[in-house]
Amino acid sequence: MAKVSFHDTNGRPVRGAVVAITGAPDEMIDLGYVTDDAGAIQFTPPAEGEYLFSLTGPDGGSLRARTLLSDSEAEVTATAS
Amino acid sequence: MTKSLKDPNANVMDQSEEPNAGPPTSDQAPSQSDNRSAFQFDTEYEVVSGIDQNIKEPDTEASNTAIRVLGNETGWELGNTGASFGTEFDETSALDAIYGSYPELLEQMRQEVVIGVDNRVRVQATSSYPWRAICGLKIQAANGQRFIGTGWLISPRTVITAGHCVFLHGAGGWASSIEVVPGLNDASRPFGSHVGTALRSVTGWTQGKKRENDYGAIILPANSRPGAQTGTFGFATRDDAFLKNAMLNLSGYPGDKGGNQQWFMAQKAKSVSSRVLTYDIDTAGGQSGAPVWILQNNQRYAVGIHTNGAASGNSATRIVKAVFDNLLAWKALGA
Repeated sequence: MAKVSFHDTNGRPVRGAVVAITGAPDEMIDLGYVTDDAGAIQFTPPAEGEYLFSLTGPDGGSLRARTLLSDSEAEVTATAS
Repeated sequence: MTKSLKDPNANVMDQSEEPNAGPPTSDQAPSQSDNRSAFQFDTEYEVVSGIDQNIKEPDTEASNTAIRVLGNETGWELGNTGASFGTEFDETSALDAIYGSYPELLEQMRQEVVIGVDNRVRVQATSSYPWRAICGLKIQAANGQRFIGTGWLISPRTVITAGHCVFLHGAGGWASSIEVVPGLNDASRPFGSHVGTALRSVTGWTQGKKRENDYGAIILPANSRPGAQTGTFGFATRDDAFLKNAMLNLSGYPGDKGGNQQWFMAQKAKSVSSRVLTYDIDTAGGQSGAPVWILQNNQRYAVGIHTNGAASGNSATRIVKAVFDNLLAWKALGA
């Protein structure tokens, strides 16, 4: 499982946000994710490459993020803005 | 990436169908399954780890209840379990449907086209059938992670969804609970909220993680009967020729819109294989489990369960005879 932690531009974790993976290098299940208290989600990436994310916070605000995942066990931090 | 999905061996199949039950009305005459030709294309746009890849009977039912209480469980007896209530909508022509019955959706679609991001249309009237029979799902996984998805009612207490919404490989297996919200519309919950813990899928998904077996169900508790208020979807098998020409409707709760709004789009299939329907209908994470349905002779029949997204085409688990039979059994459980 890969773990992606989302921080805002001030470095604070984006907690309780609904996350949709809007871009991936290969087919994925169309499940939506909710970030935990550390602002993280976990999922199984189907392939190495760039992943795009749409985040909607509990207050309705929208953020975008992107990151590269080099393997299925990657742990990365992405800045959502 | 998605492979070519044409399957030359899948041209003939049974034409089974279970009628939808629209909003309860005084006219509740049962409708009979018909014998219409497989080449009758009169459908319409809806308006508006431990993986075993060698499962011998991948559509054998699996359930969290069975695992906790009964151990191994075999398939279900079949039977026609429901009467039809008919629907409240008049049939219109395919091309005119979205313009005729739901002009408010047309206007929203225009706005979306202007934006140019995608072609989904927001469904504002989620208290109306069929939209109210579509449910936002709030999924609590066994390992504590949270997810969102979509489901749809086929009987008062039976919600159909993706297998990966009820059994999450990598997140502890069977979900610990799933909140079902019919017609969810931002903060509005016109038919309340219902928590299900009795879950169903098939071994092809729970043990084999096979894409073609990615479907499941939530059986709500006896005191939760939202489908009796909302009306329900029918479901049916259709052959390849039919599905390649049919208008496919899909509506669900995408995460890129926050997960609390219902969004709809309709289009013909891109390709049809023996167990998968592929289309260019726009979707996003959170729409897993959404119904892919046809509107035919004023009846709504789900023919697929949306599961996957890919740049080459989004896709659904196709309702074939084995899937149909399980849905029919699960429908009876929630009657």
